[in-house]
Amino acid sequence: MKVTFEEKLGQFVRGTAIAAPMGLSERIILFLEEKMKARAKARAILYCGLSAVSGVALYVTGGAVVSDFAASGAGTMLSLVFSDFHSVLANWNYFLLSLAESLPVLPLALAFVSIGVLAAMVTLAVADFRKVGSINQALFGRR
Amino acid sequence: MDSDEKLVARYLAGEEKALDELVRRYTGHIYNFIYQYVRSSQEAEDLTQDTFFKVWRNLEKFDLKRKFKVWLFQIARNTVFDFLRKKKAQVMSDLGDEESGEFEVVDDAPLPAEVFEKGEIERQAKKIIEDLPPIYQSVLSLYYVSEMNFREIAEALGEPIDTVKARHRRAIIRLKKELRP
Repeated sequence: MKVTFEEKLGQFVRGTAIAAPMGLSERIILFLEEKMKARAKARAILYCGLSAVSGVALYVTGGAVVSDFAASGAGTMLSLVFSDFHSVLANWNYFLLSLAESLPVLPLALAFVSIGVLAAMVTLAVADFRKVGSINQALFGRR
Repeated sequence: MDSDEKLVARYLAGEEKALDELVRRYTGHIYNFIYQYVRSSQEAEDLTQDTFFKVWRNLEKFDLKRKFKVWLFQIARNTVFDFLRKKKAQVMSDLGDEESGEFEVVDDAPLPAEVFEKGEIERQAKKIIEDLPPIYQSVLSLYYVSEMNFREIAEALGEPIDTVKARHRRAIIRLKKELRP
């Protein structure tokens, strides 16, 4: 099959292409892995910091829940379930409504939010520390 | 062999080895593209690394409906042009003057491929290609080496498609003019 001028030109252009130095792609991969490790480390430290903050928030809101719960009389109402179960059962809807009204809603909500944030931050921090570990293994294997 | 976009999707799903494959696939192409502008091995190496660093940093924003190759070369182009601007190189004059008349159409008659067969002419053709301004070399390189079509080249270089086609045509005409016995 006859080769056209443009096909031959294509061969020449490919022939004049400058080859990358040996090992360049591996060096770039190593460089990117170092960057990924640095980013994962920075994020893990940030998540640890946020975990500590949510831990403190949980301690404070948890304390507020306990003290407000004690002052609210909800504890006394709950004890009725054990001391006068049949009355509670007969008037379960009023009992539940009164119990709900007596609960320290705001401290409870804040405590749940703190638990949620703490769990999320710890999970993310663990994931990023694992990523740092696996990149270290990969880098060690390459070197 | 997975497509570029599939490798990107795999990387975004958490498979970091997929990015390694993309780097290996395109290091040579990007290095060659950048070298045409900077003409220095060390600078081309550094800029190639910078290009892939920017790709990694922005991969989460990449639209999988687009062609990865085009986006990669856009980043390479911006990286090398930023470098040249900082170096205060005469980007426009070094890149080639399309108004110089050097590339006017003189004879569009087809030239046989056999003209390349003679060793001396082969060397001559190679020299002519190497001496072309970077804006013409990059079009030829993206078309014949990286196997992109004109639309993709236009998008990668941020130029109108007619400009890209004109540069390709002018490079060929110059070669024919120089090689014609």
